[in-house]
Amino acid sequence: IACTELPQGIWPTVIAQLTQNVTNPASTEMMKESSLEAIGYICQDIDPETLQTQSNEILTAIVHGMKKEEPSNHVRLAATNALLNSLEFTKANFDKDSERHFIMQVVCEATQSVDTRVRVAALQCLVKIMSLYYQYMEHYMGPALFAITIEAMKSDIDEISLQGIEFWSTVCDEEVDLAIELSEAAEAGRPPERTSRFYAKGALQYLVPILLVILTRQEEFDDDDEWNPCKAAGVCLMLLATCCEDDMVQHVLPFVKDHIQDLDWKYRDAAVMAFGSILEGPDPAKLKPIVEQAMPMLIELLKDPSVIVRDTAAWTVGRVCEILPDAVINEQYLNLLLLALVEGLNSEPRVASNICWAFSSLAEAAYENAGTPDDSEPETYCLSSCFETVVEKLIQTTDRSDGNQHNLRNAAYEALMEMMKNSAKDCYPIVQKTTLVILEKLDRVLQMENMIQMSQDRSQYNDLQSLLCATLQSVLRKMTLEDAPKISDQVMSALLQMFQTSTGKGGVQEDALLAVSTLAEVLGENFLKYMEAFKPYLCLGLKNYAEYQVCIAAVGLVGDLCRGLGQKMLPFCDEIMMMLLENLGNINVNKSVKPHILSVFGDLALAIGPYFKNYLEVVLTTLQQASQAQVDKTDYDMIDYLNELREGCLEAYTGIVQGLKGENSPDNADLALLQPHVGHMISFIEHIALDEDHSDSNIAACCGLIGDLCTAFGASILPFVDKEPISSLLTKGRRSKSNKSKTLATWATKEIRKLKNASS
Amino acid sequence: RFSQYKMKSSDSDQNSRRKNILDEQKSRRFNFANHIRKLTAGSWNSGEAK
Repeated sequence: IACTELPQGIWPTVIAQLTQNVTNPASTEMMKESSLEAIGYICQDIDPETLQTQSNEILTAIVHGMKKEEPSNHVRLAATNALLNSLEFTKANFDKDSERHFIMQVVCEATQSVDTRVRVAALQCLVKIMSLYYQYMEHYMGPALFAITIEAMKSDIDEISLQGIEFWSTVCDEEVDLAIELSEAAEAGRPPERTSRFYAKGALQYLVPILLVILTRQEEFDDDDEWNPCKAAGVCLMLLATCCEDDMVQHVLPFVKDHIQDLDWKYRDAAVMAFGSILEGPDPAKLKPIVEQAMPMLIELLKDPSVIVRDTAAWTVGRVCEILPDAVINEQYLNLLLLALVEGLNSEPRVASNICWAFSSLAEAAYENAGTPDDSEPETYCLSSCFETVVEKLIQTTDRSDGNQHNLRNAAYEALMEMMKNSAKDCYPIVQKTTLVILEKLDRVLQMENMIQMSQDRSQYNDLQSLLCATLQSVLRKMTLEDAPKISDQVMSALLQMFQTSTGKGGVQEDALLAVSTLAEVLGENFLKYMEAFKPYLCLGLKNYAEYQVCIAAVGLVGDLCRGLGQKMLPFCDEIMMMLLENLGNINVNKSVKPHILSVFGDLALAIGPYFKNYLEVVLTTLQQASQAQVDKTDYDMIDYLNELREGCLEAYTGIVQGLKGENSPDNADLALLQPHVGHMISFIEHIALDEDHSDSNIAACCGLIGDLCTAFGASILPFVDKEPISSLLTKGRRSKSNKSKTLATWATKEIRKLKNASS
Repeated sequence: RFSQYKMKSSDSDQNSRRKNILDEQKSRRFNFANHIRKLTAGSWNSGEAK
């Protein structure tokens, strides 16, 4: 009730009443406890700003209840929980030394309570204080926090140990953020606002041995959903490695060497886990020889008698493939590893799922490794010889009856997609074969439609349809221009059937629309024959703003159809334009759809060229409105949104200018229709140039449009573009780190110079 | 924290997949515009040569 009423100023006395209940010596234990609980709940749910002015009163009551002199543990617990919930709006108190010292003293004392619940709550406070007030912790770290949290980590009581570990995981999170802040500040040539005190690095030698011991406390039959110190220690080691980088290796490696072949599976598992955890952070050059040395053992451990060890080994191999692929893509280990991985796909779902992930990373790394100078598809690569075996095995894995456990089926499909995407030319026959397998599976799945009744089956069935659509895209993208039309009828009829049966299932529709996008891109003009049958579903997608991602996919697909069909898009334009404009004007359409729609105006203009005149007036008015949009600049998401919206406008203008220009500018009568709007386009560009929050791709799009205007309008454009804001924008573009901006800014500059030279 | 345990980063889960497709669409639009501007790699270089 307080959370509803306080923001409206209706119950102004409630906090005073509750805090008095706590500090009044005459209050009963029960009264104090209940009042503190109420304060805690209010603090937890209310907008912190509402209570800002009462933070002193609240804090006094809480600290009163937390003091070690308080005889009741119930009261102390309620007070400590209330503190946990109020930490976010007591910043003003933390800013004052004396008040902060007092709060910290009370919290630290509470961590020594005999009551476990009070200790846990106090430790939780320390974790939160560390994340909120890192900059103030130097004074307390050495004399108190270090010892308190180390002791907590070593506790036999899981809840306490977990908080001790969490404290150091939080330190790592903070210090990683600070390192990023430092490098960003250095790049921008300014000092960072806050700096790291490197607590994690300093404590490493004490933390790591404790964490390694905790890592050996696995349970034989661990519950997947249970969070325990052993798992927390694994995560903490990983975070320490990211944070302390090279320093981590010397502390962990001796343990790995001593125990990776231990007779006790718990030690073997801890050793592999520790090794897997430090793969990211330290210098890859330093790690590579160590990983190479460990590979034979890791491969061996994929066959360990303990399923937990096999699982950890498979995860570690997956991490090697992802982070240090060069350590396995070599003659010495690759074949050995591939054999072990293929065999490992027969293991329990948790193990096999990790192995699928390893295949995904391996495929990507192998393809990159075969890199051709012009980024074209390599003739062959290191996975070619085993490609068929791996693909067959992955397909079998997608069919496993236990595939719903540990995300195995998804992981197998994802690996299959990565294998297809990252395949060399000599694997093409297998890509073709896989295409037929996927189409067969799609047919089979669609026939099951009426047999699905249980809701759990339904969701698995939908996931499967989505996965098959995505796999279909990965093979279609590889199809040669001769082969694509041979299978397109079958693909399209499966997709149409999917649209028919998937009303109300946004996820499936989205993936199916994205699959049509790929098909349209691959087929080009040949897609025309499907338009009549497909158009109703495209329209349904465009109208489906309730599931806005479906709508985005449909809008994007219009763009692909424009590029694929060109002028043949004309007969469908009236209807599509109407729906796009309707969506733009509809306040119920999610705003993230709108930039996409604007961009697609450009695609349509490019596709139908002079015929776009019919829509010109309404589109230009719309663009003028959209380009004047303003947002709340304190909200980062809104800044991003504004940039997307502006990019949409710029892309639309580019498409319209290029589309109307056609082949025969600048003497094109159609262009004259645009002339009155050139002034607005230029002032829009200037407006973007002056906005310090503009994105790099905004700059690129601005430069592109400037160049387009030059080539379309010739010398008559010079008075518009030959001025300071525009030339400094072009300079910024030429100096940009992104190739996109650089190329377009250089091109636009040259176009302006050409016009100037010609007119002088 | 729990999600960080034995974490598998993936570029091919459903969300990243969909995001990648939208990014590809954007780059197709970009390439198409540059093709018209005769800014595709080959013609850009020959433009330089002139």
